[in-house]
Amino acid sequence: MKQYTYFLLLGIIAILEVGIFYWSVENLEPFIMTGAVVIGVIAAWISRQMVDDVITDERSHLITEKASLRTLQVMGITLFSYALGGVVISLGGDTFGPFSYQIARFSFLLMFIVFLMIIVYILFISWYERRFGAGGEDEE
Amino acid sequence: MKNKVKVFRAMYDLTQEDLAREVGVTRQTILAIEKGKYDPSLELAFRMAHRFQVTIEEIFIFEEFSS
Repeated sequence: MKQYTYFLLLGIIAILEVGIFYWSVENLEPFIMTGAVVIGVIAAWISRQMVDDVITDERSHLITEKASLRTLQVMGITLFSYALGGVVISLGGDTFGPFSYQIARFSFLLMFIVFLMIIVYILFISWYERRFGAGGEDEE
Repeated sequence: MKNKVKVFRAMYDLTQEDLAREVGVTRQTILAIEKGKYDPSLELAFRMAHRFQVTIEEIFIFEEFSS
């Protein structure tokens, strides 16, 4: 499959997803939308495997890697700051209005997600260290 | 890293697209290598050297020695 055929297929999948989203909202069927997203992602992935042209190579992997790391750093700090702000609001009691409790819950959840992100990051670091040979006994 | 990829490409009458296809990367990667903005991996460097039937040192010039 050529690359433009793949992009055409992606466009068709996207349009179908929007249509299914509209239908699921109209008919209040959340599981249909969830299933459609999963199926859409799988379909896109399968299509990607069938592309003959070289789309990604070592340079694009490096770019993706660096961009992902920076995004993780920036978004982690942003989310953590936002969550801290929410915690401050929650500690103010009802000072910030009747939704303080909901804000507090959301903020703590957000903070938990940020910490989970750090743990997942450390796990992936360990996994890739082992994969690229940093672990094990040193023969020397 | 300075290199002579463009020179060797011209010698073999290859476009960037041709070379990219033969060594298994995108045209943008070949372009970035020729501009010195991207250093290829060892494997890619070997593939390019093999394609041009020369050694890696004949294509790529390590900066410390280029001056």
